[in-house]
Amino acid sequence: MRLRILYTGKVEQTFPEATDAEVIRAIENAHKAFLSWKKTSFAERANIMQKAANLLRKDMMPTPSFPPWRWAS
Amino acid sequence: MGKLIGEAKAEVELSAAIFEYYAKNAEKLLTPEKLPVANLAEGEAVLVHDPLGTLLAIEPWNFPYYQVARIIAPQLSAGNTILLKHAGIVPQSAAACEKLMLDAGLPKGAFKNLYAAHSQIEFMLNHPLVRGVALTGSESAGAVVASLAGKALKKSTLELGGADAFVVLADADLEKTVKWAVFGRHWNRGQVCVSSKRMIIADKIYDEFLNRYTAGVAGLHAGDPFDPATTLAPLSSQGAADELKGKIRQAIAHGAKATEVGPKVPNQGAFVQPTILTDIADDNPARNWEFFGPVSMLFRAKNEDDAVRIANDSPFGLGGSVFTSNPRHGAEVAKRISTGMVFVNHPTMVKADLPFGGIRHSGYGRELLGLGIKEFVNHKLIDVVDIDAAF
Repeated sequence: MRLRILYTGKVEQTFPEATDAEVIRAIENAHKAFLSWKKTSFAERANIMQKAANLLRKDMMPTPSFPPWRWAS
Repeated sequence: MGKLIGEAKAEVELSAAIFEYYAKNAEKLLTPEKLPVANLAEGEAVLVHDPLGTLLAIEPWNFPYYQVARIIAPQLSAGNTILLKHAGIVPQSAAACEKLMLDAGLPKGAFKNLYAAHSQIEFMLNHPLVRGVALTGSESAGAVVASLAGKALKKSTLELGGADAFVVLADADLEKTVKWAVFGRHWNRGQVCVSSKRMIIADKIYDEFLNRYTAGVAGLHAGDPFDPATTLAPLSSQGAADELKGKIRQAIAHGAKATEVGPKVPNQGAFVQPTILTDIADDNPARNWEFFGPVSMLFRAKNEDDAVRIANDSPFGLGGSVFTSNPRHGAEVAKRISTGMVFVNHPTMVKADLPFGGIRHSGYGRELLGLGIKEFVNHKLIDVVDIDAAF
């Protein structure tokens, strides 16, 4: 998988596609994670969701910061 | 990928709001429900909402964070785990989503990004440990994934394309309505499933609307998405631009009139000249297409019934709008529009606390709110019955 910037035509980065073995491992790991994740409390999950929201706002806001158009609201 | 910097910021905020919504509401939404049985002999019946297991999420490039948040926030909150197959042109966003959740403290493996090939999707859906699939994408991708899921007897939800009607009744405030029409069609460079793609205008005001709308579209400024002065970003890829231009040519070949609007867009980058299509006859196949980019279809409606007829004459059924200076009447007209979401006096909106989804070729299932979190749970009945009670 190649990330090519259309405007410049340059390939910026390549991302190796998952092998079948990696896909199987990911499924098995996700299932293993499910077996313990489903037992966590709503409060514990809510903490992680709130942390994700906080991190998005704090670290993942794109810059430069100026909204030329208002989001429909 | 073209997206205005301001729109990117709004998308990140919307994604954060979705995580926050489920942080606050998931427990309440999934509280076990005591069932009011008619006969006490039926026992103490309770409905619990158990997670299903590992889900596959297949997501598109047009909102590379929001589309992921829309599925992982509710489903992780419900106790499911998720594998992500994101669009091939947003690999960095896919990796960023995975990192975000790990940084937030999610256990390893509970949400994994996979740069999977299309051919691996069938394998994943056939795997007994994958319990369902949520897809946002094109009609063709939806049809393939739904049939694979069906064959494997896995639950699926599909959020596909749309061709939202933007109905303007004769009494609408034209100045404000045109502003929303230009915005509704061109935000996120027109590559939104709920863009206002079909303007359906009352006969009496059609000419005036067309003049004002044309002027509004001509006022868009195509350019660098990072430049705050830019109001029209390039499309996501050259392929998307070429496909859109091909559809314009086909619409013209079937008799539509196409008017290119505004200053010439830059040659560099996947820009498409904003185009207004009129005179789209009933037998023009373009009526049934989704134009994913800055192309507007305008229809003249003889009267309100005709406007509703045109609005509903679409294979899609996602969102839609009715503009009128009489909002109560607008709500009545909204009831006659056959889609998943109808807004009076606004283009279809996307919010953390409003449901999202459609009918017909726009897919099935709903995302967000309680509707979304309950798409992939087992509504399990537990009934404690007196051993001596009648059967």
